[in-house]
Amino acid sequence: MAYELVKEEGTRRTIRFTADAGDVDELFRKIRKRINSELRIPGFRPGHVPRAMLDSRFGNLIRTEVAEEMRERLQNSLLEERDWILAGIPVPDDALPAEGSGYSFEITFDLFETPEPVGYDSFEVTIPRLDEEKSLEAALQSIRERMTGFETVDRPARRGDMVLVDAVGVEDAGSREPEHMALRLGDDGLGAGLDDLFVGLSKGASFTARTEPFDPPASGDAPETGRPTLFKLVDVREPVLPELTDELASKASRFSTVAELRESLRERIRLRYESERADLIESQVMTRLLDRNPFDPPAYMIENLKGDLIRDLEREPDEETRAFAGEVARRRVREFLILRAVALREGLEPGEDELAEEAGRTGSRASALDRLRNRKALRFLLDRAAVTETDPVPGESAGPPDGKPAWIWRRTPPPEGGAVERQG
Amino acid sequence: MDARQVILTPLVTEKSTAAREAHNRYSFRVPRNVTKVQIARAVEEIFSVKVTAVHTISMQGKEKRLGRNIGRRPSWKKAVVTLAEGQKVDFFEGV
Repeated sequence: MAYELVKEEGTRRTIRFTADAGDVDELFRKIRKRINSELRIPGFRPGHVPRAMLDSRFGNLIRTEVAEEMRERLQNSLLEERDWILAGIPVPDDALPAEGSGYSFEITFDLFETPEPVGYDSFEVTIPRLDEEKSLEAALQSIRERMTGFETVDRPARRGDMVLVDAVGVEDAGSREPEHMALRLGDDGLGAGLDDLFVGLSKGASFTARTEPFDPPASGDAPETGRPTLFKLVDVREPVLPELTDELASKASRFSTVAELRESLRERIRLRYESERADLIESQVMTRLLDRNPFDPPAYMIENLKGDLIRDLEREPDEETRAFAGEVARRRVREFLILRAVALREGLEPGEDELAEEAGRTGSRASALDRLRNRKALRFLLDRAAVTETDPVPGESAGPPDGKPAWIWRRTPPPEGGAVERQG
Repeated sequence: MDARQVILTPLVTEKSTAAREAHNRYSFRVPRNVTKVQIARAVEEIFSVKVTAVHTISMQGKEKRLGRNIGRRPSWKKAVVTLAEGQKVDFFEGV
């Protein structure tokens, strides 16, 4: 196998590839065997269709498949050597191979040239400072809340209380046993709005409610609703936050004392902060670099990566997910290209041993080279980042999710002759 | 009997292809009531070749089951026609 440059025009290269007759024949044998085993022709067992019949009926298909595989094989070996980024899908000529002779064909490559990188010598990066004591207290408080106990109280229910409830469909009341359930008021465990209906009620109170659309239909038609359900408040229990003692520490963790638990939490908080800090710095440096170097990457690279991203999803992605995957793919491709450009400009090439080791892991010298070079470029950029730590802004943490629910529980009049609402 | 009523269809299977390549024998589906002589004449007339031998086989129709019902496909006759050396039927080439 050999190739030679036959034409060079700007960023366009035309390469002539030549494959030996032996390699072509070997590929013909392989492709013919594969097609034969896949064919289902009445009267013939799979893989036993005579060669003459195969060639007469599927000769063109076989030749096309041989051509495609040969082109891909030779093209990949060229790209492994040349360290090119292609601007689009390479265009081969129409030549088809013939058995018993060499195969010569031309492919035209359009090369992508990333613009010379600018503005990569310094970066101002701002990240929130770690308030270790505050994070530690929040973690301990979370453990106490997880170990919360509940005590029965004789007062109307409040948000945060645990209530024991009997629930039964109004149509089934009397004929069916109610379902017993426990609700933590405020969690909206059974849907939006129901917990609020219990607030202010005392043990023994009951009411009927059903789910309704949060927004009534615009047409003025009667909205679709859920079946009315009769709820009875059986018990009200108040949360009792446990004291932070050695006993609690041993129950909630593998540590026997509060001091040990604190030390372990402190260490984990530090490690997590270090990891988040590194991610934040990298993300901000890359964002600044991309902002300073606006360019459009090759469309096929974005499409390929987008395809990879959505291929692993369990469900068929909707339009929004596809658009998001497209944005992520675009950013990653731009990151790859700009890091590569920085590495080339600064001469950040990996050593031969390093490259051989990485290529052994990945199986491809070209991708190993890209990966190592870009890693070096990223380290180069991170070394030029001036990091400022600021105090976290109070209330900056994620609040409750925005937006309204589709359905909400609303009270309905009590059924005739049924349970009578009683306010506690 | 018209020659085209004697030769119903050519048979192209793994076995018939091997017989054609090795012994210049061609297989056809023929009506059950025709004779070897009629077959030889029909092949010679349609394909303009010299026939040296004709063998026939009565093929039993396969038993087929559809739920609890059992049926049988019709029996048929296969003719294996040997051509003189150097003769060939172009129709079969590369089919």
